[in-house]
Amino acid sequence: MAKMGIKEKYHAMTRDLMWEPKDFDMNRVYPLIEKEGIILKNPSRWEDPFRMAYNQYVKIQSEKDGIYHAVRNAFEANDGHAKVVDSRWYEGVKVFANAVQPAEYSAHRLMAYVGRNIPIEAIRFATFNQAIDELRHAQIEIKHYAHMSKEIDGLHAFANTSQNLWFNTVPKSFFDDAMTAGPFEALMAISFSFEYVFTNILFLPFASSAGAVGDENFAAVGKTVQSDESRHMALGMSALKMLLEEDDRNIPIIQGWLDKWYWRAYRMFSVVSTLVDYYPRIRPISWKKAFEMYVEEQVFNGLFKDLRKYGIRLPKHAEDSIKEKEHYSHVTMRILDQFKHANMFRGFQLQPDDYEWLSNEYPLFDEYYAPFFRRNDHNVFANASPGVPAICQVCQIPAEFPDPDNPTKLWTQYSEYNNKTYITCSPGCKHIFEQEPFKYMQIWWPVEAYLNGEFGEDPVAGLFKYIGLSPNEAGEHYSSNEHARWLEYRRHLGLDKKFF
Amino acid sequence: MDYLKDENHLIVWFVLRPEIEKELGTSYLGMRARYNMTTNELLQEILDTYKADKDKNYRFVLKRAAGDMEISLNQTVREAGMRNGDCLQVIA
Repeated sequence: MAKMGIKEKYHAMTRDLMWEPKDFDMNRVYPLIEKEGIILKNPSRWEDPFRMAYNQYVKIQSEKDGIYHAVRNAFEANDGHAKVVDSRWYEGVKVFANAVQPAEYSAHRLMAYVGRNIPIEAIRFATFNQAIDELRHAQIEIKHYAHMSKEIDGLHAFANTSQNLWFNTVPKSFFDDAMTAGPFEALMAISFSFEYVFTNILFLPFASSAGAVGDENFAAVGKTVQSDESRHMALGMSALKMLLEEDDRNIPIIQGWLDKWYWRAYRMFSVVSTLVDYYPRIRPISWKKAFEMYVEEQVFNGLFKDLRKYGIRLPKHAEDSIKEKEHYSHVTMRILDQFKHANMFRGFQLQPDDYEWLSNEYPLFDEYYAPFFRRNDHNVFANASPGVPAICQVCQIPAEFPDPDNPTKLWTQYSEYNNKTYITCSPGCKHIFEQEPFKYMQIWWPVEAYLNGEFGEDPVAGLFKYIGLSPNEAGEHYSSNEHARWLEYRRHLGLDKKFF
Repeated sequence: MDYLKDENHLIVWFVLRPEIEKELGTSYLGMRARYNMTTNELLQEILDTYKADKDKNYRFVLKRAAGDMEISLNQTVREAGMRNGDCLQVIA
């Protein structure tokens, strides 16, 4: 028998592994397969773009883990925490810790859900690998935070905080939304909109910032995770093309999902814009430039040009996101600053070099946003909100995004459903709400729960108990005990000395 | 406690315009209210929250998907047609 090539070997190990049920109706075994209106004619011709069998997968991932943990061990053993250029960086790492790790775990479950419900072997292999990848990411990130928790606040009650913090309702709502959609929609939500469109912008600029400020540990997290994301992106692209080519009647369904999930993912990534533009003291790239490079150039001008032949156009609110790039990080940071006294990561007073960089990168910053942040110069809580905010019924972010065409006017939208008024933060979220109002009216609204008394009669103490933190873990970074400890740590190591 | 279990209770969302929106970019804040309180009492509580000037004249605008509804300050919240979850703009 002739020796098999890589392609034949892959086929031998991944095809003809499943059977068609004889004793049960196919629709009982796969109850969701026809629910979304997707028509499949010959899906077995579809190929997993990476054609990776399990033995190869394990070998590659094992090598990656070995490299990552070597970097982590060196960072931990050599006082890496003290050596970053400014400890406020770790407030951004907390954002990432709290939002991204639970999202990784949710992505793991979501991939398992997709693989379970779509009986196509190639999709099963790809989603199986991705499900394990996501678990690897979650565990690497937890390991990272376990060490960081020795030095920084906010992570010691990690499970409790990530479960209950109001901020986390944003990624949770995204993944719960995808998990309660059908399997093909879930595949488009995570593999295409999340992975293909946005993970580069999540892991590359922030990991580059980590390297620039001296956090080698986090840079290594970013690199090892992103090395898997390229495979996930290929799955998203390939799955999209398969669904479009299987039958023309799939096209309007897919377009609707792209409209919805582009905006859903874009809004969830709003906090990433602050991780790129605000938290690092040294920034390799701005959110605006990263958005132009990874989303406008690669996705809108590259991929979507190729998709035109199928009749697919840009996501419905793509233009709004392009307009928002001048404002996105400033608006999101403004929201975080107003509620920094009730969060697990702190805000901070901007420094002269921050103002200079922001002003140079963003022509509208001085006019619309600098005056807000200057209020912190004399009182770090000058912008603290006197109350709890209304959040968008879809993305669950406080509905405080301005109209990019008129930045002093909020973009809040109103919808009526079942004799109640619902608000959304933007036309993009309003469109999503009005497609499925019954779904979004059911959200658990942390602010309403707070006002309703669900945290007890002393709501401030009740809130901190609920999220597993104490009030001194919130607030402003440069006036915190955490910053004082970091300075002392540096003094102890002699890192406060200047030689030039 | 379940504040909304009481049939006289509701939660409203308010914002003082135009200064707050323009300078701070903040949107609606939540407040407990009662159907039998007057709209003027509700206004006073909102102004207390912002520590706003009580000598100025203010008007209430109820935001609905179909458009804005101006409401007077001398009726009860119920008479004004307000519902749980309503958004209210207080305009100086």
